[in-house]
Amino acid sequence: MTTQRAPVSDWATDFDHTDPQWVADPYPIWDGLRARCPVAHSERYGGTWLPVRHEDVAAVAYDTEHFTSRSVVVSEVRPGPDDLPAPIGLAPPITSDPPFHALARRLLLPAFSPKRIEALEPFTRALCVELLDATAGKQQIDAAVDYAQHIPLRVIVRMLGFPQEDADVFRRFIRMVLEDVDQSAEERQAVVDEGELDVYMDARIAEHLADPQDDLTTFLLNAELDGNKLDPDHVRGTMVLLMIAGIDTTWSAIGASLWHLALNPADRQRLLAEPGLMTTAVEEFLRAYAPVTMARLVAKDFDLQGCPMKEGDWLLLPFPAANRDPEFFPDADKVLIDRAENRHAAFGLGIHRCIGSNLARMELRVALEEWMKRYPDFELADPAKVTWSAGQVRGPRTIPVRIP
Amino acid sequence: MWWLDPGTVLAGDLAYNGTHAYLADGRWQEWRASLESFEARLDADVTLHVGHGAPGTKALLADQRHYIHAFVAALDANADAVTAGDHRPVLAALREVLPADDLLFLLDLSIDAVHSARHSSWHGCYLRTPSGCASSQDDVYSRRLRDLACVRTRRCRVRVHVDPEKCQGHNRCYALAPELFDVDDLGNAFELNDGIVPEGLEDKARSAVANCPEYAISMSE
Repeated sequence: MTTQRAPVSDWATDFDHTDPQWVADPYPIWDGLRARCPVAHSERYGGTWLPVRHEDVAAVAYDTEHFTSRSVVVSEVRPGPDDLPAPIGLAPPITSDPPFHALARRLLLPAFSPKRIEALEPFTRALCVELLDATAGKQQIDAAVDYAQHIPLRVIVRMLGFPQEDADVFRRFIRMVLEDVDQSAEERQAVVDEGELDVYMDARIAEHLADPQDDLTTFLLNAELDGNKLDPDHVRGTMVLLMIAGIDTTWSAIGASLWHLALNPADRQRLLAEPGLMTTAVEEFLRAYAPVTMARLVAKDFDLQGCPMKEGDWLLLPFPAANRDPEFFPDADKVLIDRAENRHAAFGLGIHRCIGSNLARMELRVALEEWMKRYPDFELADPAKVTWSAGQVRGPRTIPVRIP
Repeated sequence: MWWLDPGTVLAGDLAYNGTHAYLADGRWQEWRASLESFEARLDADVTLHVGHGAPGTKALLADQRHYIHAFVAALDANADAVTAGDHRPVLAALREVLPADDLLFLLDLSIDAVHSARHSSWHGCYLRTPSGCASSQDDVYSRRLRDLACVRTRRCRVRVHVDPEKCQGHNRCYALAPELFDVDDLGNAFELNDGIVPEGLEDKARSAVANCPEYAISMSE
């Protein structure tokens, strides 16, 4: 099904974020670009820009005048100015621009405040213990498939009040939306046009309308903007966003952190000896293995570091590359689990800061604590079998580990 | 609380009448203390106009106190179920106390919040203050005085401030230094205790400044 794309000829003028080399190990690519061409360009996907220095990534993230969030996933399907309802966008508030953005975001913020998220910790911990119990007695398990992927999935499903059995349905949707971006426009359009996701979400909305529950779905259906209930498209878009943004990303962060710990026994031993280091370790894993690259469309012609960006161009916003910029972070390429100064941008910068950052941080910390408690000693069963996701969310999708 | 006349009081959310209650802010001890204090002060024949439910007599205050007591008792009796994510035993226990479904969702929202507060390292804490956990209202006052004395004698010279225009709610400061910062319901951070950093917490203040991705925290020494 996947279209074979031409190999990249030059990363400065022909980059492709779905290229196998980028998928396997993007860091040397970004290091090379930082040295010779810190804002790269490619004709692929109809014309795309790529800043890789922290300074430039931050500048774009803060500039909502020249860059619109109307579409945040680069693909062959480029929305025109009239394709998505402005200023709301397909999945508010991530696809919204000011001034609507602040209204849509304010609506959701209370559900994700640190104190509300703290209340989900006991459920998350019990879930991690349950997943680890299921691996008891095995000598080899997959840290991504058997553990990491289930944690954010089941927590967000609980928050939304959807059936826990629908976990597999969600996994398929996520793959379609985020990981099949290298398919042709026709192939992707065919999947999107089926409208399967909309049908599924509409069914859940209808259930909640008929029988309100104490969950995020009912919260959204009851929420009001300017005294009016939310537009159904707004509710569905936001629910799709929470589902997609809440699962793939944290799954990637948990998996990448476990992958690092499998490869670095010294860090494992240090965390066991000094459990208090978990706070800085979690932030360092988020910096070094930040999963999420966002995207913008150029809203008004703009010159970034001498690069003439034209209205309608794509721009990839690689927070993971910003997090590896040696001008911003000393020893940027080293993972230092006690890094004291760490202004990482794993959750973005500016008004679109990941609304689920407190949730993600809690899930990552609890997942690592429970794993280390159960399996303080583990190693990769076969480093060559580890696979990484393609697209704008980077994380390991299979991590076979051996338990001694 | 508003007194229309000595016999008529607008009691806001001091008590609910016939509905379940919101306890997720974790301040149930203070709520119970307020109820006791007003029970002592109000006339026996007072009419209370409450925010949820019909007006009622002073007996509403005692009912509300029993309700809070029952909630905490039910949480402790069913701690394992709540930890596993099962709210049903607590909800059932409170339905016995108050056989109604009105605002039951508020009660449900409160279960995880109060449960995790009771099982965190701050368990038994009356109020988080910049210099640690205060065990009573008197302790809060004495800590306040100590912090102020500390500023007057210029031993505490460090102050922190969160710029609300720059803060985007990353909550790194709150995670690193909950003694110095708190967050509102939207996740926006603000400094506690007018930003005064008690002696011994200067490194935590510096750490919060150095980890804010938005450069929203300033520190003066």
